[in-house]
Amino acid sequence: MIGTPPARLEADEVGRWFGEVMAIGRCSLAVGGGVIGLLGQNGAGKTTLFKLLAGLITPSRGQVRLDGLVLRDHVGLFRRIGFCPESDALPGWLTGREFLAMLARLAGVPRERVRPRVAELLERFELTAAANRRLGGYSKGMRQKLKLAQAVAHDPDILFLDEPLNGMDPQSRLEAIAAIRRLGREGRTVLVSSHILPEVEQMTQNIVLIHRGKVLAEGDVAEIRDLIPEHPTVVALRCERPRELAAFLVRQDHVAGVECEGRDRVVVRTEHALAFYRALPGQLLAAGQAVEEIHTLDDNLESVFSYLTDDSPGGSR
Amino acid sequence: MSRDLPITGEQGGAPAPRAIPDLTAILVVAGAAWRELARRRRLFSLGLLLLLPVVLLLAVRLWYPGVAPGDLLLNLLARNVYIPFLLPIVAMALGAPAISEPIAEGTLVYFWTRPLNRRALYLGRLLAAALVACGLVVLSLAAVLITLIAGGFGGLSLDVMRMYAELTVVTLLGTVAYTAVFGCFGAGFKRPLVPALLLVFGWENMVADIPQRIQEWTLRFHLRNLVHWPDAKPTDLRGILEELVGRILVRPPVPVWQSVLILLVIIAVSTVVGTYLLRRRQLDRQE
Repeated sequence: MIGTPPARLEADEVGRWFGEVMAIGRCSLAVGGGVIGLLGQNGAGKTTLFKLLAGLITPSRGQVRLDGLVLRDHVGLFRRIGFCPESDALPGWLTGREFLAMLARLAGVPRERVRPRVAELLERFELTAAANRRLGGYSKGMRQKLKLAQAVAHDPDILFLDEPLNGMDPQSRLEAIAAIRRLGREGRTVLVSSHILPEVEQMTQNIVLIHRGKVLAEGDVAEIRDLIPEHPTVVALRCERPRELAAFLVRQDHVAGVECEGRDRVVVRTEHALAFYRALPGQLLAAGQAVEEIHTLDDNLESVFSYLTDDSPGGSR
Repeated sequence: MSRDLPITGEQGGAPAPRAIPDLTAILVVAGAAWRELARRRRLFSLGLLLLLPVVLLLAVRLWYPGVAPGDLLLNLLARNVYIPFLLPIVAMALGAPAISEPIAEGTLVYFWTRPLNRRALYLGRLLAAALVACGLVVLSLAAVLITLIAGGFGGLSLDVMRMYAELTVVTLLGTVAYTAVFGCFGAGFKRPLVPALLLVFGWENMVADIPQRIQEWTLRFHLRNLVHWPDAKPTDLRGILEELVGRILVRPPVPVWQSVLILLVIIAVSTVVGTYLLRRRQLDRQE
């Protein structure tokens, strides 16, 4: 990849309606090379925009082009595209190895190279032990890793990763973030969607903010981050020993309160969202806890959108 | 609002890469779909259901020994068990889900984002469904043959062998035809089992036995038309009544070649329409 010109993806006034509902308004984007974070709250239209950009749905207006060509008219262009969907759906009756082999072959990997490539991917995403298990029995984190593995199976030069860190444990998150940064450094175009700004901030400085189906802002993450005032955030962690984790977290910096919920959930309240998110993976590793899922309960992008859309009471920007 | 994202690359540079050849894609998709379908629990239930002809043969042997020769029993099994009941059920359980399940489950996206033509995806999955369905039917026919040989039905005469060969060809053709039709339903309907049930147990049940030309508008009629009656009619009440009705409602028979042609056209049209529907399909907001 290094040395070859990066893929150029352009959306020209793209819009999409589902019946009466506008999922994406007029949206224009031009990206090429590096990691670009697509940020928006749940329901903002990130997934629909991803599907539009990846040629999975036709726009109601406008066009999307990859290096000047319309994706839906040139199916061969998918040799250059890797797509990691948000949905966890996988064909449950296939094994991880079979699934990766099938998709690698369908992506154009030559038959004789499929087997070593699949073994390499299983190794890289730590799925070798589960390779011959049916996908129906995979955990959320394993599914996420497999989805990422199939997206990079054919060495594409443009990647769409829709909420790729959802459901991953802290260690896997760190590895996935490092992998995404590396892909960007190699000259690939990597579009990553998320609703957690600190998560995206660790991958890239270039972000696109999307709100209610419209691109609200594009640019450097530092500029956007400055818009966020310090505000409380609530994060839920799912793990096997919630009481131990709660006792550990309550002693950490930036943690304002901790509660145990049910048999496997710890809810943490912080007054400093960004600092908390930065410190969390290290803290979890220090605690020696295997956390299965991390969820933000109140969305810290809310304040940015309020600021940019002037939704805040009495706000005027 | 800043617009300072990196913009690089050349407008309209190299030509687009080629799609994966259709034959390769069909075989890869069919191979994976075969594994997927062959591991379903429903296959076990279908296997048990397909033992019904054997059970019926054994029941005849037990309660009415010597009433009917083997070729007549095979004929009755084809007309009254395989064609109207078993073939549609097997095709419904495999053909429709082969196409509709990736759509409903949301796994279609993995195929959509590969450089393959959508027709290859449809044909590959339909091929796998037809092969699994035919495999099940062949196993059922093998069990019937073993029962005929070992069950004291008078051995394997030339007539029995001829009827068995006929039954094999007709049931396999019927399986493929029904699978193609239900595969098309899978591409066009969100719940394909509803129209499939209406077709088989509604339309075909109502129309296939009406002694007018309208019965030709069913797959069942054309499949039955391919199974010839043995020369010796049964001497029981049902046989007599059928012959009587046949004489009263005499009408020119439909040639066998015409039925074969119609079934092949149904297979081709269903496949083309199903491919078209899948190609036009877009991922919903939820998929």
